[in-house]
Amino acid sequence: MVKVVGCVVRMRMCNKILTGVTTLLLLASMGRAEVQVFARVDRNQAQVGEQIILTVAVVSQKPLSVQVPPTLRISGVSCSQVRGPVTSDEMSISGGRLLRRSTAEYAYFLTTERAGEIEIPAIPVAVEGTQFLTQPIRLTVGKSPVLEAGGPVQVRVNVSRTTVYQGEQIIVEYLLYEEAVASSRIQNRQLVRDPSFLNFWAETLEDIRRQQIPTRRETINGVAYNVLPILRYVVFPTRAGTLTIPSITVSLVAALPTGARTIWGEPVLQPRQISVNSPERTIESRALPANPPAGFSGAVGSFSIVSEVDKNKVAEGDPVTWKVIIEGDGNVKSVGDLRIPDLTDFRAYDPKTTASFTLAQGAVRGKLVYERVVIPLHAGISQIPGTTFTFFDPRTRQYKTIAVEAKKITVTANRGAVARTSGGGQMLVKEVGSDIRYIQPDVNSLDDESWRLTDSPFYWVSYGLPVAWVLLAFGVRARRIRMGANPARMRALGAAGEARRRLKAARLAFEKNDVHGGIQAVANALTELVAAAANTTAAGLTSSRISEVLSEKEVPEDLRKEVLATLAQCDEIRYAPTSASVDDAKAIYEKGLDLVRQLLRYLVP
Amino acid sequence: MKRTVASVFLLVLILAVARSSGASNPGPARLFNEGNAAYRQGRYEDAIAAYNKVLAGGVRSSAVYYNLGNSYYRTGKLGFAILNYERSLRLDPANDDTRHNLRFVSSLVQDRVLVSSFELKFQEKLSQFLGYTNPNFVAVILLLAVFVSAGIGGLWLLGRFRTRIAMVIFVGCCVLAALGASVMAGEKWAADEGRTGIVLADQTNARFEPSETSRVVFVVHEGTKVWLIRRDGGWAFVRLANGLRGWVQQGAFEMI
Repeated sequence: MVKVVGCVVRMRMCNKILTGVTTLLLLASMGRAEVQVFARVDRNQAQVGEQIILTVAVVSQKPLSVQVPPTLRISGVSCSQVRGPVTSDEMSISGGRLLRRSTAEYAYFLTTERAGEIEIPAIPVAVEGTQFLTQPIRLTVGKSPVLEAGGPVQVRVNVSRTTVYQGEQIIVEYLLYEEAVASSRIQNRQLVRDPSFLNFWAETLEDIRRQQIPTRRETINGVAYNVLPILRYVVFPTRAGTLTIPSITVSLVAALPTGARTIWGEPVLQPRQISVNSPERTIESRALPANPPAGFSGAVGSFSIVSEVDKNKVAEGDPVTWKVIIEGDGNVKSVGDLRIPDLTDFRAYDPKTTASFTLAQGAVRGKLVYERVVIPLHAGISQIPGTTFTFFDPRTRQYKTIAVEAKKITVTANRGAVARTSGGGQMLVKEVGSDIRYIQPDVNSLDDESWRLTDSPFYWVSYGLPVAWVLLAFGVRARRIRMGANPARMRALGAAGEARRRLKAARLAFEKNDVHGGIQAVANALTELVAAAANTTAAGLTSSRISEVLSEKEVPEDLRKEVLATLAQCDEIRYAPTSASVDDAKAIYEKGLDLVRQLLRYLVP
Repeated sequence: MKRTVASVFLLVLILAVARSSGASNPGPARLFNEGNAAYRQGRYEDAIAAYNKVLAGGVRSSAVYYNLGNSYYRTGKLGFAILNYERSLRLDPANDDTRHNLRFVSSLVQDRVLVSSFELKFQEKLSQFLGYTNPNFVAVILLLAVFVSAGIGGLWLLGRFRTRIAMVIFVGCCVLAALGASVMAGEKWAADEGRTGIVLADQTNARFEPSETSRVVFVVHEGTKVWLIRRDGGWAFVRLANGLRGWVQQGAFEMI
């Protein structure tokens, strides 16, 4: 026996070595291939119920987008959801070149279900959108020994009742019994085959794979067992007759006695992969009495019904949540739609129905909640109608109909309430199909639309305007800066401008026959021009000072005399206005205009 | 009398010739209406012929391309339908009907090209954005922004209008002008560099080299959009939205 075990161990080692060598060879060939996709298993030989790890590897020169099937359908093997990827990058230098290898590995956990030759087919793998196939792999699966009944490990089935009416509740429990003394030598327990309920409506209450279920200890015929609940269902027969509660298979590794004993007299133990089947149980399902009442939808059990609203007094247009709750030990999921009368006083939204089962004190109770939001349409007393529910009670062996009364709701007036609608409910408008939109038949749309503004040279020429404006502004600014460096010229230019403005004012005054004002403006124009040239104020200028200033500015003597004479004439007219006519004044204006022009030649540098 | 009869005969002959010549070369509007009528009656091949004649007459109208796309879709030629919707959008980027139909028909093509890298996603988004912009509108906005910013800048140089609001308007117009210039540059890029085409063949292989004996890089199907990189003989080097590149036969696709 020891030799046999040794052989098995060596075979498994050889398999692992071969798998490793294959992987290395494939990696070594990476220099030639761009993407390499292959599959491998951790071992090719196993027994029924044992787990095998199938790895799909994608080796490439850079990380790529890889898609593998989420799970696999292989005859004789159950497969887990894919796990991974586990990625790795390897850099190496070969022949002076830097080689990079990126590996992504995806793992599937396979559990063998039958003995014989099993082939894992080629697995499609999409790498960057391109399909690759792995090589097929063959597995040799041997039978695992089945534990005889009454042994140290058993799977039992408990059913709450064996004779029921069709649709009546039965609680089914699958329990793993392990001898307390052997329990510590058992490991790797796995549920290999789930029960397949035919002719039953089955609801899972507990599943050890999803939740912790407490164990207990039982003594049977003087032998202590650890009892591990595996599955618990509530089932309802869907037809009458003799029905079978299906069996399940549990796989585990147990150190079992070989029959031999050590020299100390202790039994020799050997770890063995074993499968344990539960026995099948039969139950008798009786047909329901004939001629059920109207409204019976198949509910069997004992039920109660309640109708409730979240508020009894609301404003017109405010929503009210209305619930009808059916509770009992029957299959609430098979109740079907409640017979709800029309809600004429309300606008009603689509109902929401939820059903659930709870296990308490060894009994299963179901709860069905029918929930609907309703909105009263008008003020006053609105009534949510009552409803009835019919079921078959197996205890009394009679059909029963229970009812809830109507609910009255006081609705107060509300100006902003919704308008009354004729229908009792609403439907969400949904898009039920899609297609292209219709053609555009307008013949006026045949105008050439390919014209682009940027194709026109005028568009680009028009950019010259802002550019010219900015250049002009730059020029003016530069000139101003340049002129700012010569204050005398600036002053003289300013005075020239002022003189022109005063002469203009004089002309306007003469047009209004204002001789005094016009002459005053002409005199001011001349004196202020001279004052600006002398960098002084007009108030302090006398005739002699004016003569000096003009002389300094190299104004010819004739022009100087003319200026002084004109100023004298102005003074004369100003102080004796009646002595001059408008024509005389205009003549002086013309003279002043001419003098200002001539003086500017000498006074502005 | 004979002269009168001859004159009338000649006049009738001239009118007949003129009428017949007019019938052989009908106006675009008439052809367009004929295409619409054929479409309504379910004669989609006739509608395609009529719309193609309108285009052959030099008309560049988004409505014609749109209707042509609809007709091709009804005949099951998804590639041609997408090609014409794309051409319609080039002329009228804001047309909601065209966008809807393009989206709908694109959802029916066999290939799904997933864009992965940031650079390609950016290019895709930029192309989509440029597809929504009206080139003439952008050109006018750019010109106005340049005018306003130059006007305010010139006044500032002259020492006028130096207020905070003027500064805000100036900066805003400068930003607008920069954006407008960028969009116009992007459109220029889209027109020059981003030359796109639609695969019209049911299925075509993209190869590593422009040769039938070269290895296949990827396979594309009717309706898939490709970017043309360069041509060589009867082959074109194209890129997909996800960055895959390969050589395909030039006849397998048509430029938008």
